[in-house]
Amino acid sequence: MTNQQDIDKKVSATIEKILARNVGGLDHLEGLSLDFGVTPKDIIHSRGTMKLYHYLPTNDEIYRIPVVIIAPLMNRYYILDLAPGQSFVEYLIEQGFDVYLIDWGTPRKEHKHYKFDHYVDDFLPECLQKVAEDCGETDVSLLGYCVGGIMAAMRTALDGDGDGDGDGDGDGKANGNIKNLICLTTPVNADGMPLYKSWANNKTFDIDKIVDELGNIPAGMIDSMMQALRPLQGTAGRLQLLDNVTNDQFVEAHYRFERWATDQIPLAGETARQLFKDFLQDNKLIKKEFELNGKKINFGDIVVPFLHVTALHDHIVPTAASKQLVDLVNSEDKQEIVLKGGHVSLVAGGNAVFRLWPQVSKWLSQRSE
Amino acid sequence: MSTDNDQPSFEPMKMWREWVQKSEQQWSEALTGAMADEKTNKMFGHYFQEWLHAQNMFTEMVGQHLASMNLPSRVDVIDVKDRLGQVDDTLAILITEIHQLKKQLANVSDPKDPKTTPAKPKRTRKPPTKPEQNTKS
Repeated sequence: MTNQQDIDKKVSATIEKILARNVGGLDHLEGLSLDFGVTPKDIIHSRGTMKLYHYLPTNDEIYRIPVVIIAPLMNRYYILDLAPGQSFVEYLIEQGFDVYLIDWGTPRKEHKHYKFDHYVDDFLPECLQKVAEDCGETDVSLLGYCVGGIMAAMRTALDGDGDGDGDGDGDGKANGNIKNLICLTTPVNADGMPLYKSWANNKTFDIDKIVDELGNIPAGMIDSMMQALRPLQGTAGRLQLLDNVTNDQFVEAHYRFERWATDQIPLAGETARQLFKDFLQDNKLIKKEFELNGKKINFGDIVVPFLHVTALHDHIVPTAASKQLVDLVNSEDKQEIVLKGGHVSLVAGGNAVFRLWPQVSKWLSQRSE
Repeated sequence: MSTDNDQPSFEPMKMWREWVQKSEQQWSEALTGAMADEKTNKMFGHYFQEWLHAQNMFTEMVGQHLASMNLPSRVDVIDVKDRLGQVDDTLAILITEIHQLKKQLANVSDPKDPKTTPAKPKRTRKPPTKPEQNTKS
């Protein structure tokens, strides 16, 4: 074979490969737009943009205590139910848990006054009441991811005795009906988030002016702030996609993540103001000075079994920002697990099924009778 | 899943891509560090305030032009989006009501009839192992 023939053959093979990849790939990607959050569920309660889902159990025998998942405020809930086989919710159901999820929805301009006070001290207790009515069990396990974790911990602390010593001497029910608390990558110490802290401290972003002018913080702005933490990650991700372009599983997972990551939701203006001022500027959570409806939040009031899972390579909530939570909590039965992975891959990455999900399921199963 | 059994070959672009991926974290950290710097911070702040001001002026100006041409502005589109959101929320309330009614209906009809009363799973599941306490791992 001459050199020319050899080159022709290689070029022809490469073109065929590219065409096969692209033509087949387009069919493949078309279906991806519809398959998020598909685990069968009922909406059992809704108020404003908030919806409370109950996922239909698939086992004949389930654990007594239901799990209520609190989705983050700034991201779509479906990161926890990304796709069949890539869903934390689906995994928990398969393991025999009765799963509920609070989806906060997308705030509109009429919701710009919403604060943590509304979410934690109004919506959340109402949802827990609805869960009790729906399943007939008053006890619940709360599971929160990221800001959802802050909200879960706040609710649990508010349901405590309020004396901060964690002895549960009030009503004999240490944290009300909350029996277990699980937080995933939950920030409590703003000093561990240097970039955001510096923005807040130097008043780079005049949050009052932004909120007053825009009402809610637009999703694009939140996305840009997230991107600022790893500005080149998107480029590196796309190059990684090129290297794995023949791996269908990788391509699917990549596009699901990309779609979720760009599908941010706005943040209610007053919540943003609270996050910037009370959390980032004044670090009030760690100082026990954060107030909801005039009540101070003290994580020392949490005495129920507690699990905190953090990610080793989390650049959004670095361990420096989250590791103190376990020390603040007064539970005798408490555990912190640091797993390999990033902020998102921890809960929805390809390895979550081997790392996070079994750990949470095992811990929770032992406390859900 | 497709299978590619190409022999490893010398690909300068692939090597470059690998280098970019490996060094991304260091570059990102350097850029993030620069963004956290006070001077850069203030510059961003000024830029952002100006952008906010410019955006307001631009929105107003374009809005007037679009209105004169009887075309919807961004604000109008957002209003429609909000209205759709309200419709979506109302639908969710209706779905919830239907769900509650179905449950009530199932309770008043024959509880032994599997057509109207689907079997609820028993809440008696036992854990496979005993709990461990107070650990950091």
